[in-house]
Amino acid sequence: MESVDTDRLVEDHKNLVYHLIHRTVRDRTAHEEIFQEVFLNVLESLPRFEGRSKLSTWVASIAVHTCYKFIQRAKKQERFEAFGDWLEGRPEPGVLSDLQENLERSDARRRLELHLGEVAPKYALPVTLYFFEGMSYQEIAEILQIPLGTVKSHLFRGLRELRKRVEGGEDEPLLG
Amino acid sequence: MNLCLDDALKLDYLNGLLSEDERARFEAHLAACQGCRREIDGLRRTAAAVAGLTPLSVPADWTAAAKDRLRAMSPSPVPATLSNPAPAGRRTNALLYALITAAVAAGLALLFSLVMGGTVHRWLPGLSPAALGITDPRASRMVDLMAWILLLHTLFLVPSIIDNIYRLMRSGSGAVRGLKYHR
Repeated sequence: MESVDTDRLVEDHKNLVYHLIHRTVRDRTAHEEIFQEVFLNVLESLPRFEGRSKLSTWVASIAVHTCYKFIQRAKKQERFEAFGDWLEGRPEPGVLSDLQENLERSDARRRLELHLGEVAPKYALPVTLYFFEGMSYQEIAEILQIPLGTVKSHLFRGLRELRKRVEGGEDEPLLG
Repeated sequence: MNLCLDDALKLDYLNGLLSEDERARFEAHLAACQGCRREIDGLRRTAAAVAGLTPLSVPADWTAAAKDRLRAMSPSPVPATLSNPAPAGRRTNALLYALITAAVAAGLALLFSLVMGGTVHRWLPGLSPAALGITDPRASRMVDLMAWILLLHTLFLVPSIIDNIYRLMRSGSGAVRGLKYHR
């Protein structure tokens, strides 16, 4: 293992990693933990990086993989907790916090952010990776580990889904 | 081909990935199809809105924590002392290294001459086969053989011993950190 400029590694990729976590994992309380875990995973896997893709593409794929693993763990935990709640007769965790957040977010961009959060990550991720991060279809395919055709169909579906939500609400000024 | 149904074509049109010919045909269809025109307009504005999103700002303490954890995990950078000309401290270490090597070599030579010349029996009569009560010549040869095995074993260990002494001496100044990871 050779020496690595870890500070630069974090500095160069922190926004991309944060962005991906933000788009993939809805539980905000877990974002910091995942952020740290992504960089630890990147460092551990670095000896296996062969330079066949850009470093940012490779880091992004690790970030997405870490997020998916977190979601899988959380789902298991959720099922376990829901069963516990059912046993004890407790109410299910409410959507109240999301509603409050909706009311608090007033400006158009924040509404777009909210709508993006409502679109399933598998559709929202290609949309933001392509239009916001400026990545190519090929790079997105590598990051999400899906075929090129699927990237295109998910990208289009995500964009259409987002448009429906945006235009279905009162966000015309945002798009005008 | 029904353009209204081809999402991939619409996407490539939006992203400017169609050839001139394809684009001309697509735009001819758009001119005639209000539904597609409206959809493309909406999708284009949505894409522009996504592109114009404000980048999320990562909390500073998250970045600092990640840097700290990674620094703690990663091998130390190669110390400058390994690639630069040897400073005074290193010259002293090199002298010590040479002295230790010479002392070990002298010790081995002495042991070798004692065994080979049979002088061990003269200098240390208490260890002679007679003093040990060994009268059988075969048992006496066995004692010599054991001494030989011990000597060979020591010879094989010498490089490792010297290397460890060297590393121990250098770790005193902290310069040994990362040495193993240097390419």
